[in-house]
Amino acid sequence: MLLNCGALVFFLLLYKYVQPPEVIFEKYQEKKYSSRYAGIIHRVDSLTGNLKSTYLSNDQIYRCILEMDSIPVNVRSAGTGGYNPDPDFSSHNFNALFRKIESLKRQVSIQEKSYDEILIAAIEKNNELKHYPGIPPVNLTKDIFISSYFGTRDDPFTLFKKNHHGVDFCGPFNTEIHTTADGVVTLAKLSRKGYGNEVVVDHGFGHCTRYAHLNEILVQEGQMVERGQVIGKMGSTGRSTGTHLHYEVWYRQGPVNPLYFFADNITPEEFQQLAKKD
Amino acid sequence: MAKQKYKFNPESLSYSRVVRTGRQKFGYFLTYFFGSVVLAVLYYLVFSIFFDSPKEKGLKRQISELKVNYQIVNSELDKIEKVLVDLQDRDDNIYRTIFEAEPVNSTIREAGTGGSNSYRNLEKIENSELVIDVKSRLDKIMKKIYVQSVSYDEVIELARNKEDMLASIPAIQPISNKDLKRTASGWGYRIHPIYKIRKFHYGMDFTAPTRTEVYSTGNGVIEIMESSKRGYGNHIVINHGYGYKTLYAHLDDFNVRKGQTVKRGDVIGYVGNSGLSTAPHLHYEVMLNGEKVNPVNYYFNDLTPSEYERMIELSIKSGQTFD
Repeated sequence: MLLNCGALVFFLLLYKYVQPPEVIFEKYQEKKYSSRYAGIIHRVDSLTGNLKSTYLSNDQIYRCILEMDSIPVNVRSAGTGGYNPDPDFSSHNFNALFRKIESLKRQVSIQEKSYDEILIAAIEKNNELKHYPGIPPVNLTKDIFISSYFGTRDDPFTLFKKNHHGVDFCGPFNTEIHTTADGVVTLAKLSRKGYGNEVVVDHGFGHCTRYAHLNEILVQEGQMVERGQVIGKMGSTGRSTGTHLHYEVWYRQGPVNPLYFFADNITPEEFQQLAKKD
Repeated sequence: MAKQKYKFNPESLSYSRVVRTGRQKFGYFLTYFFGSVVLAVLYYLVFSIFFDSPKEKGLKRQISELKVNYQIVNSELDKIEKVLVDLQDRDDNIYRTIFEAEPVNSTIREAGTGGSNSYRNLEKIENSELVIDVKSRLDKIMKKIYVQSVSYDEVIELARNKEDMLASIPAIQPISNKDLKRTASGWGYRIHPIYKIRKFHYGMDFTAPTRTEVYSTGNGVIEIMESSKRGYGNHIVINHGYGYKTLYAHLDDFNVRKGQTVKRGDVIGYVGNSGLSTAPHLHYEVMLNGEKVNPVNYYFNDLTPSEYERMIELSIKSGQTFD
């Protein structure tokens, strides 16, 4: 009886002042979690840093090359209005942490969309370059020379000043003529306007090219052609004073000087590489 | 108080009072004391297993909350990390599409920090021997450049005009290129963007938005200033003397006149996309005695040795030029 009384007294004392063993264990667990909390904050910051580093290549390089606008800053910060710049991360403040993670997720998703845009634009640009009339229509060996340039000149037949819409390449009879970009042949027949045997190729993106006074046409209307493919042979058909290729480039219904589209720096050997043989 | 205890004394056949000494009493007291303690502890342990103290209840709740929150946070971060890795993959793909070359080493990409710049870093990339060879040759060139650049007849002139020469020969980058982010394509065999064949690229391309300022890289005179839609497009050639000339091509606009004298750092024009160019960029060439030379050797006033290493790595890497 006395024993139990004493036990009760001590029991109450223990209850009030001493923690049960389980509590000690749980307090240890709690401490473990709080150090992990700091680890998580660090991880979030490092992910944010990684994300921000992708902005640099995005805006400065890719968007610059593709001539796209940069994404404005207010869109990048992804709608974090009312954002407390210095939230309390000191204790287990999960509200602040969740907000930070949500904001990170939004920024990541904006960057994803940005990459979608850029990839589409990059592929499109590559496609556009394939359709750009960027090579000479004939291999510029020493047998070839330009006899007549773009612009006003004395017409060889009437001796009046006339606008010459293209460039004349003189060369040996039956020299191979290559199309200067990927495209579709829209015309391949004998012309009634003095162009003789002519081929017109539509490259899309506003560009068309014409190849006139051919001796032989080697393509058909509707045919898809690739840059460098042979489409005809040089001749003197139509209103022509000698064997030559009359080459025109049109951009949106207006003739443009074809010499703007390729440089002089392609050697005959290099031309052989890109010319496609049938 | 405790009851009086009587003990039967077999010898006297009577009950005699039990007298306890102080010590004995004390002993009994201690026994009771410790007995209670032990019992209390036992009771407490049993109690605590079955019942939770309020403190314990609170802690248990907190811990389960923490557990849940951490699980959520961890899985969210894992998702985000996966997406970021995917983004970096996409970046690499876009790089390959535009530049037709493998993207630059990812250690350079990481968060734009300085990074170590040593031969060890170079050894990780392809053609490392080539790069290291170039780098060591470059180191030698940097020391010998003033002497190598002139012929015997001009050595005496050189000695007399050394200060002028140091100010005149190309020595900085023609556009502002912090972190070398704008270095696009350098000297050497590259893929032409339109012909798609390997051609030697005799200069250095810098990507930059249209209307970025272009600087003269040394004192000199504007020798050629041409507006054109062909080839180099709008371009400027500056004669620095001492056999050096520099070319700046595909400009959008000019800021100087032909014949004008300029100093290193003067704005001479603006980056554009004129002539045969597939993106806004500056094509920069250095010519010595009429021959084109690698411009990477002529940025010594602008770059630290560690930046130089990176510049070389970047300019060798790129596969496709913009002109």
